[in-house]
Amino acid sequence: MSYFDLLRLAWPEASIVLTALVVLAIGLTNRGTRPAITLLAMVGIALAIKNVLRLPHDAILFNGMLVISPLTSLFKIVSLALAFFTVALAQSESSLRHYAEYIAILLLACVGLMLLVGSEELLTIFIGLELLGLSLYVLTAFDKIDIYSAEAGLKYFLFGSTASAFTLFGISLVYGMAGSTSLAVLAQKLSVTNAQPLLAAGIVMTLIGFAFKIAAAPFHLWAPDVYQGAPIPSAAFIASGSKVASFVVLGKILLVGFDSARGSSDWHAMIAGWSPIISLLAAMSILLGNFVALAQTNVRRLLAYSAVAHGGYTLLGLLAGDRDGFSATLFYTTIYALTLLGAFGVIALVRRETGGDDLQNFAGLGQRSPLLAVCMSIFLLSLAGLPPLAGFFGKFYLFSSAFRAGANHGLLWLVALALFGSLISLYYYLIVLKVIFLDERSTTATAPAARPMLVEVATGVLAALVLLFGVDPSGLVARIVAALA
Amino acid sequence: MQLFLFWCAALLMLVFGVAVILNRNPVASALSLVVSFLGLATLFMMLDAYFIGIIQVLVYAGAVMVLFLFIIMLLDLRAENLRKINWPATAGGAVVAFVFLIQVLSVIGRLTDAKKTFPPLARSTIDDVRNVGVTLFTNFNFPFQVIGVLVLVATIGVVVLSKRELANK
Amino acid sequence: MSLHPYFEIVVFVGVALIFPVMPLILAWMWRRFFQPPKPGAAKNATYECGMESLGEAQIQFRSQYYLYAIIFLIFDVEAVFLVPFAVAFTGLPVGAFLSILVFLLLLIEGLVWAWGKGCLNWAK
Repeated sequence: MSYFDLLRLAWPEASIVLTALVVLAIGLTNRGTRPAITLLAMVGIALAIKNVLRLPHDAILFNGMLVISPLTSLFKIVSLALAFFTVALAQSESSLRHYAEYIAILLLACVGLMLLVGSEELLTIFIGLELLGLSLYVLTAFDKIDIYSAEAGLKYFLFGSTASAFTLFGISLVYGMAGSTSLAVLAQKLSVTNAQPLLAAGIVMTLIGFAFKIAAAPFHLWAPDVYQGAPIPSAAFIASGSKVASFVVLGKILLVGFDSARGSSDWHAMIAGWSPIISLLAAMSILLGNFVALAQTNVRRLLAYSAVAHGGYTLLGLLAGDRDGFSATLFYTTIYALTLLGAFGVIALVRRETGGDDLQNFAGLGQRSPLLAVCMSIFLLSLAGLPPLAGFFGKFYLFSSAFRAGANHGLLWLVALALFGSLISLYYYLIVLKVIFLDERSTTATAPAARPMLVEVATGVLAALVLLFGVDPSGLVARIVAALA
Repeated sequence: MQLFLFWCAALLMLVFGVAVILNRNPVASALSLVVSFLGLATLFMMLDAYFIGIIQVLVYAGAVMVLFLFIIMLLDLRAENLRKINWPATAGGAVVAFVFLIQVLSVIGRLTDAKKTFPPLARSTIDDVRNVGVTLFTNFNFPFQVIGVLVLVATIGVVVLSKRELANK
Repeated sequence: MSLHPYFEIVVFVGVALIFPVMPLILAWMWRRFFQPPKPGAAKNATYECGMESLGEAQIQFRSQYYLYAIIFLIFDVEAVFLVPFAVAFTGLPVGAFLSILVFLLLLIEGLVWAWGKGCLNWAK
């Protein structure tokens, strides 16, 4: 190992940190205007994507603390792209007083994502989780004059720090059992020792932190408040980036590190292991998320509960447990992240015009700005899983991989539950669309101000991507499958 | 002697840990936490982890506690005169904590390796601070750098969130 | 007989404890044996340079102090990492030196930023 290697292999992360430092410095001077900072951040992210592409094909540093593989490179690019779109959303957000600091913390949170994605070692994963978590707490509470933002930040912080304390305790137990934090060594050690209760306790506690990050019920309590109260770009980043990275790393921990402690969650044939726990989380998330979403009148809160349900669907791929299942999980979570970023873009524009994001603020959007309404319907219908949008293919891939897994379709009960949940979800997504297209324009809507170009363009691009991946998903799927090989 | 010291330190830690939650005066609670930390530091030292023990005193008992006291004084917290105890919540918390304790005990009790006597650690030829330093800057260099980034985020976040905004801005 | 390397510290701690504890014990014994117990309102009052004491001892601090405290804490944590580096310095390669410079750069950027942001000015 040489320090030069470390610098070379961690250069994408380092370049993002450098960009953040420059953004901070520029923010102190007179030149730190919003467009300048936005441009700088975008250029920095683009350069980092280029640096990721120039990484070697395969490399492992320090027992897996930094792993370069097609999979990690692909998801580093996805993380960077999500950060790119979030910066675009942040540019016109008027509630952010310290804009340079906001962007800098956003970039550093993106470093956290890249670390999570690019590590196969529990210690670095934990530090990545903390870096990501700490940045997101700050981003959530950033609009500190707004009491909802402050409340959301406090709730997120309290839940998050408790969850990561459990995770750290769990990791320490697993480390005590196996004597190593590297996932590869862990898998090897655990496959030769017989299952001990201490290991089970360690695994369960390790999972708590990740269940919190993906907002799986019953660890979802922070999500509605954060989605509703946080500044819109922060909520969008939490809903997209944090979720994608958590699923990637959760998949790696479960399917690589704890593979020998899998157990089975087949109907009437459950075997102790992590699989029954994850299936329980998935089932609870699907039911609770969908049913509670029915009662929501705030669009952001509705998206939060639907996010809980989507977290449940996505877990199905991990339960399937084979390469197909993992790639379905990765595909679905990526598509979901793009969709949700776009939906938050539309919400940002509506909020700018009508001053709120309740359902009635969306009334008459179809007449006011048809293009925006079409974008929103693409996002919502993709979330509901209608063809020909990306969400449909994602769900199909996910459910079919879960259906095929196991000896005699043992996961059928969960697939049926997920299908039932999707059916319910169609109802509340359609309610939003009904308000957008059929309801009369509310009188409180102010005259449309000049729309920020950047948000519009970003939303349009995201809608196009969702459509494109729905019509032709093979490109992304082939990439993910090849990366997992 | 070792065993006696262990029990002394552990008892100190537990008694003052309980005192943290039972005390009605927040300043007394914070100072009880300091004593609890000192007990913990003693335990670390008995495990030959001198560096961690000293850090425990310097950073936790020193800096973190100063911060706690600051916050108590900032918020102008007084001793609670009439604390209303929310019985259902307290009972629920106690049950959860108790069940968790039983679980941890039974899990550790059923661990077959726990019944073996632990082989004595080989005494290191170099002192532990140097050991920590060498490990930190070679094998664990990458997480170390990430911690630098983490501390930077903490600095920015804390300052941005707690800075008073000027009225005209 | 070889002494433990940290034996001196234990001796030091012992001496450091004796110095404050001895006068306290002496004062207590003095009170116990010589002082007649005659408590009164004036006698129990807080000593405040001979003046009548005003208000309470526990007052609310300005939130300005908090920023200093938290910045101090962050640099305290940094110092924790500098100590093992300094102790292990002779056995480390050049790269380790560069890596601590990077670490310091990150923290100094934080300090410079806080300074430039005006957090170190005492706002009235």
